Amino acid sequence: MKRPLLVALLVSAAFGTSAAPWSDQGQDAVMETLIDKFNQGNYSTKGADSCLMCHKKNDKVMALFDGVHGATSGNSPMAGLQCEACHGPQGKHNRGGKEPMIDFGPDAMASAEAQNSVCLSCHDDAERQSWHASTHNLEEVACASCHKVHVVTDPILEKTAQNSVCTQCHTEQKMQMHQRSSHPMKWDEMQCSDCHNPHGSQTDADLNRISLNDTCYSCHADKRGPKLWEHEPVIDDCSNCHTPHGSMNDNLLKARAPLLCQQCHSGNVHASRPYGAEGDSAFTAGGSCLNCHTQVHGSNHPQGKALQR
Amino acid sequence: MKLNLITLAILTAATPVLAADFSLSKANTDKISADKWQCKRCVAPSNLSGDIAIGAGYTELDDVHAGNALGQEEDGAFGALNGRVTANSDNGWRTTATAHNLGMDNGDAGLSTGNGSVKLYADYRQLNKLDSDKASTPYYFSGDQLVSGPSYSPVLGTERNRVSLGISASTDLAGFSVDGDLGYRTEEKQGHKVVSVTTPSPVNLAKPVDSRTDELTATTSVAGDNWLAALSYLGSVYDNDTQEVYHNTYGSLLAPEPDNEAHQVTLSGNLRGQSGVFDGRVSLGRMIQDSALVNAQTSPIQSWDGQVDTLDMDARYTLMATSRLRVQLAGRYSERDNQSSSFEFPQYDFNATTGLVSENVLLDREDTRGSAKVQYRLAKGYRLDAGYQFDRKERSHSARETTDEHLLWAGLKLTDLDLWKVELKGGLSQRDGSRYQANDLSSSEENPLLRKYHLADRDRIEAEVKLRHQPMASLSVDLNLQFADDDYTDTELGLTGATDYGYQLAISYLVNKQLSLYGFAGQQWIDADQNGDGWSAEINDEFVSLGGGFEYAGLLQDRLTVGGDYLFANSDSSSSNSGAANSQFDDYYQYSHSVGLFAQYRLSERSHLRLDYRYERYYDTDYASVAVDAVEGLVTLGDLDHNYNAHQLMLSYSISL
Repeated sequence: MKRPLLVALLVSAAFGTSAAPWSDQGQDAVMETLIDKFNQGNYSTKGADSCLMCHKKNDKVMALFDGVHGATSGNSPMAGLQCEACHGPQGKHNRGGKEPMIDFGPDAMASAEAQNSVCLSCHDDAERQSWHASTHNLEEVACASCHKVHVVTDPILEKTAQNSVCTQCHTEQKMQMHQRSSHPMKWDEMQCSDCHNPHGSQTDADLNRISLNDTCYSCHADKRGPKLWEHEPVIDDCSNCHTPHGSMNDNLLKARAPLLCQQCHSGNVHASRPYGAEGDSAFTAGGSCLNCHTQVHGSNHPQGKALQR
Repeated sequence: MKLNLITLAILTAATPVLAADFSLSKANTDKISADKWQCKRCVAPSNLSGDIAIGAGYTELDDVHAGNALGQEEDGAFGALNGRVTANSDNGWRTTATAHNLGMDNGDAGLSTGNGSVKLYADYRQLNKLDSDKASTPYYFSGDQLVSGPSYSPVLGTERNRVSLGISASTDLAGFSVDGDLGYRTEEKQGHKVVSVTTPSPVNLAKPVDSRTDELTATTSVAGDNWLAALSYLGSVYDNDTQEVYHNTYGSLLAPEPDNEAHQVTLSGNLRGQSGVFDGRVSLGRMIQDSALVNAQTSPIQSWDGQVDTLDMDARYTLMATSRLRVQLAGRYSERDNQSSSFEFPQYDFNATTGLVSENVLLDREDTRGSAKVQYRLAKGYRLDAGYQFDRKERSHSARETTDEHLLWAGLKLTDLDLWKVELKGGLSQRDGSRYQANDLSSSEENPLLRKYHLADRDRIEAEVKLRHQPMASLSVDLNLQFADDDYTDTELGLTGATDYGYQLAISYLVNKQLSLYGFAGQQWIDADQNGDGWSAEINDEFVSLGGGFEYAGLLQDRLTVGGDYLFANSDSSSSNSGAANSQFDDYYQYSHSVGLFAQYRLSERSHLRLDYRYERYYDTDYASVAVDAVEGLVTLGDLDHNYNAHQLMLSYSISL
């Protein structure tokens, strides 16, 4: 299922869209023209019919009508100012096609900010309330860098395609998905957006929930408690011990027991001893420290102070 | 620093900003004669569209773990339904049904309908995570009783069945845009997981998992031209149907994860000025559990009132001071207030240090943070970024009550070079804090020289480089490098240092409209050093992944498309301990080869026949995974290492509506 997506993106990037006829003008000049045209408001006389007079043979243009943005009723742009709702007033573009229109995508001549102002004028809701302060906005990522409008279904909204889109830029996370343990993102059984809000949030790493731990609890509510006996680093921050995108150790752990536990515990009993065996001791084989202290996420047993019960 | 930036922001705010805003609400529509717009060339969407694929296949595997990759955990034939069908009605409603691997062990299906103002959806998903079917144990669970019998092999892993339902609606009210969302999700989780009990010698068990989590979310928002306010509620209830582990001889061995619930109410919003945007959030939360305690006859209470209240406040101001300068100031305060009751509980007297009576400690936590970030455009395509962050964390009953962390970073982004994009970023951080102390509640059992790594003084250096080279539109090469070094400057015992570095290289080449190629490689190394009492240890983790693929669409008069993907991944962790007789830990590594091949033949304009083949070669080994009775005094679940080849062949017929 991933193959068609990759090819579609490549084709779109390399062959599907030829350079705009105004690409030799430079972005500053194009933006100046676009702002001027937008302020003048010289819209076409026939709306979409004016545009499609030339663009009807372009499959990508016509694919708009397969998707929600092509609906001619409701709140769709085609039910309003039609093509010019997003691409701006036609002006003199119909006289040879060289006068700039608002174009979209990572390689468009219109700035990301200008492109996004079009999208945000309709998509202004609680989900996107932190967009303006978000990492993607500050990095000048255009909505159309991730989203496709002239399609039946936007790939990034598909469970089987979203991770491929995100990891085109987030390559470190893509690599970590294939480590010994990871969340099941490499099989598309979990999506980046299960934890992150790409449109920004006020939580670190643009997480969906109020905190990192709250995000983890949305699938791991058994760890939430509160429990009678708490393990401080657990309630402090799940990432004290776990790496969410992948690890060379089991269970997404930063290191394995006993050495991980011994990075915080060196009492005068067994925690202080050196272990280096070949799995031939109850301190290293099986669950290592967890053979006895199995309740590392906290215990609700009256006798559970040592997280054994 | 922060004050200076605020002053700078205020001074530069007076400079006019040339922001391009093509919002629909700002469009100059005075000259439009929309009544003449007929849209004769527009194409009405068909009443019914989409693709449906029906497939039949065969999986050959001898390890249930292969089911993670292949979506089918048993040997033999299977059927699968994939597709997406959309129905458009004349009154503007659009209804979509989707299916992905429906009929297989990991699959999902969805149904949604909407008309632009109202949307309803229902989603079903089954997610299986399978660890092993090689476990061996003589222990059974009869209610809460642990009983022994003939050995058997429970499948370790969990199956999640998730159903989501929701409705969202938007309307204009008194000139404002009003949105509402209501969502409900229920997830049942069943299977077996590894736990261990002490009798007092440890016994590993495959404990049943049987729980349900229900979640309700509700959000309403109101938006004006330059502001938005949202009020949301999140409620989550966890219900565990498993019981304690009780043994006739050894008594109550293990408490279950308690039923619990969490509630959060959040008020958030933004206010957008001509050059600055403020966004903020205040959230109040409460986590509760009052499950009956197990083994309560030894406890002063029958059930414990656990309650944790949380408060989270965030505020940010993002200022586009000039066309070149952007400044962001942010602050955060979060608090965890444990309001639970506290009692003295007699403890299991396993060793002298555990003590006979202990009081449950109520852990509180506060986090206060302030940060400033500056982006300055030196010239078109040249941007300089810099930032500073201060983070203070205060923890009650901790070995260190307060930690302070300062982070300073800077970056350079070059996007206007001919054929190249370059990003450089580097940062320094330093963590220190209050006196590290041993106190009765936290660390009387610890060596006073020990510094827990999440509390210890730490200096960190990190750097990142991103390079993108695109010599032509059809060819791109990306190289990303990361480096981070942690030095725990005041640690004699514990983690003393760690270095994490790696790279990812990716090449995409679209040879022509028929043939595309891609390849990638990535490596990561993590080296950590730690000291114990009279010994030192090293951990060296190493990972490599590489792969590639192709797709060719030009065979049999363009009717046949073939493609393939290959991925190799190898995780290796080696450790040594200078103080141990056998200083080198034994093997702990994993590798896999994943191959996917397909051929798709176009039977007609609207139908295709597709053959998929997938191969998974998987191997992992862990020195700790030993036979049930290999270690005296320890009962394990047996050797759980994996070593398998798995194949899957699937033929599917698809039709476009």
